[in-house]
Amino acid sequence: MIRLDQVTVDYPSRPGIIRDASLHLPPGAFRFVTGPSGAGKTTLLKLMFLGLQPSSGRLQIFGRDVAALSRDQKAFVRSRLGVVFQDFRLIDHMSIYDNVALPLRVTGKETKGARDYVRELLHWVGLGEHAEARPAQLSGGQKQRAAIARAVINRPTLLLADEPTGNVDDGIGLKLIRLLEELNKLGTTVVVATHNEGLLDRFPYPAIRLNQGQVVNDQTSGGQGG
Amino acid sequence: MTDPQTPRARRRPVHELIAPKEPLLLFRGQSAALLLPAILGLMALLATFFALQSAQRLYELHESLGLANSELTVFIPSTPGLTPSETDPVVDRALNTLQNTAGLGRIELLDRVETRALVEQALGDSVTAQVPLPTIISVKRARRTTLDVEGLRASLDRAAPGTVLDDNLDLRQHLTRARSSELTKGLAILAAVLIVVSITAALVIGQSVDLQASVIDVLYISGAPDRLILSQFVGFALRSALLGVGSGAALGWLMEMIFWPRVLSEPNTLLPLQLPVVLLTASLLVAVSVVTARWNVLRKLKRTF
Repeated sequence: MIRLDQVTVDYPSRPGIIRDASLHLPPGAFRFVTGPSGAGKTTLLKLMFLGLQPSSGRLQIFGRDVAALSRDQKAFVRSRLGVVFQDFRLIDHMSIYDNVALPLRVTGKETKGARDYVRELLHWVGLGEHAEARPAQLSGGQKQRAAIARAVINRPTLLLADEPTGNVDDGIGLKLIRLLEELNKLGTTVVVATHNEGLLDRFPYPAIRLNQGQVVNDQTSGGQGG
Repeated sequence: MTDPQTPRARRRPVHELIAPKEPLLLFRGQSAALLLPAILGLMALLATFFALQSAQRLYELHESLGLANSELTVFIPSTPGLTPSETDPVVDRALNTLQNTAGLGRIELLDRVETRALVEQALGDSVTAQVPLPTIISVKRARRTTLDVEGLRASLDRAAPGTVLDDNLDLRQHLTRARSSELTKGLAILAAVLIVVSITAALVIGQSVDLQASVIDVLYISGAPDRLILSQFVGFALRSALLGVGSGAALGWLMEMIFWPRVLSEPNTLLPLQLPVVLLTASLLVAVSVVTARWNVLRKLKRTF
C-alpha cells in the first residue's frame, strides 16, 4: 500500500522534520501514528497524501514510486485516498451535501446514482437531516463526521486522518474512531495520527511512533487491524 | 451502512436535493472581483481610444501615400518666341514619350487657367506676370504595374530638354517617416497597456489564489487535477476580462466619436474599419489577461501543492 525507504523531509525553516523514515503499510491495516507535538506526524501524513515530496529517500504508494508520477497521476492517486483533518476543512460556502459530494464532483463521478449514495452516507454518519446546512451551522462533531463522509465518498483504499478527535469532545472522539474501525472492517486501510495516548490504550492497533522526525517504533505486523 | 443515529423528521429528502450547485471557488466579495474588471476596463478604454486614433492617422497617411505614389507631374519650360496659339513641339515630344512609356495611365495636359492657378498657389500672384508659364502635364500611374521613373526621366530629358519630372519623392519620404513614427507610437502605447494588463491580471489572480488556498487544498486532496482548478480561475479571469474589456472598449469607441466626430461625416475615413480595430484590440487585451492569469495560477499551484 505505502512504503517509505529512508525518507527525509526538509523544510527550509526546519530541516529534518522527517529523518530517514522507513516503514511499510500493508493493505487493510489500521495504524496509529503517534508521538509528541512536532514529532512529524502531520508531515508523515502529508507525504502519504502527496502534499509533499520527500527531500530524499523513496516513497511508494499503491506500488508506484511517487517521484515518477506526473501531476495528473498524483491527482488520480489522491482520488483513491480519503483525508480527514483536525480542523475539518469543509468548504464554508457549500452545503454539507455538496461538501460530501465534492470528491465525486471533482473526479467527474457525480451521477444520478451517486446522489443516492451521498444520501446513504450522510445517514450513515448521522447527518441525513443536515444535508442542506452550511458547515458553520454544525457542531464540531458533526463537522468531523461530514469530513469523514467526504473522505470516504469515493470508496478510498486508504484513509488518512490527522488528529480527527482533536477538536471534538472525548465521547464524540470515540464514536469517530469506531466509525473509522467500521470502514477498516469494510477493507479500507486506515492511518490515524494522534497524540492522544488514551485512544491507543482503548483501541489496541499497532502504532508508528515518531520522535523528532524519526520512526522509533514501527509495529509493521500486517493484516486487518494489525 | 447503517445510520448510527435515530433519524428525525427531515425537512426535505436528501435525494431531492438538486439545489443549484455552488461554484467550487467563490470570487464574489474579493477585491479581485472588482479590481480586475475595473482596471481591465480602464486599460481597454485607453487602448481602444489610442488604437482608433493611431489607426485613423495611419489610414490617412496611407491614403496620402497612395495618392503621392500614383501621380507624377511633368513641368516643361516654355519655349521662347511661341505665340499662345502655336503648338510647342517640345511639349508634343514629351507627350509622345509619356504615351509610349509602359506603366502610365491617364495623361492630362493642364490648360493655361489650371496652370496659372497652380503656379500662383505655389509662388504667389505676382509671379505669373513676370515669368512665362510652364506647361504642366499631370500623369497617373497605372495600377499594379511597375514604372522605371529614372528611365522615364532620362527619356523626357532627351525628348524635351529641361523637363522636370516630379515623382513626389520628398512628400513620399515625409509621409513614410510619419507613418513609421505613428505606427511605432501606436504599438508602444498598445504594448504599454498590454504590459499593465498582464501585470494586473497576474497580481490580482495571484492574490485570489492565495486567498483561496485552503479551498484549493481541499480540492487537491479530493483528487482534483490541475486543469479543474485552473479552469475555475481561467473562467473567472475570462468573465472579468470580457466584462471589463467589453465595457472599456465600448467607452473608448464612444470617446473617439466624441473627440473625432468627423469620422462620422467624412467619407474618406476609417469608420468601416473601426469595428475590426476595436475587436482586435479588445481580443488582444482579453487574451493577454487570460493567458497571464492562467500562467500565474499554474505557477502558484505547482509551488503550493
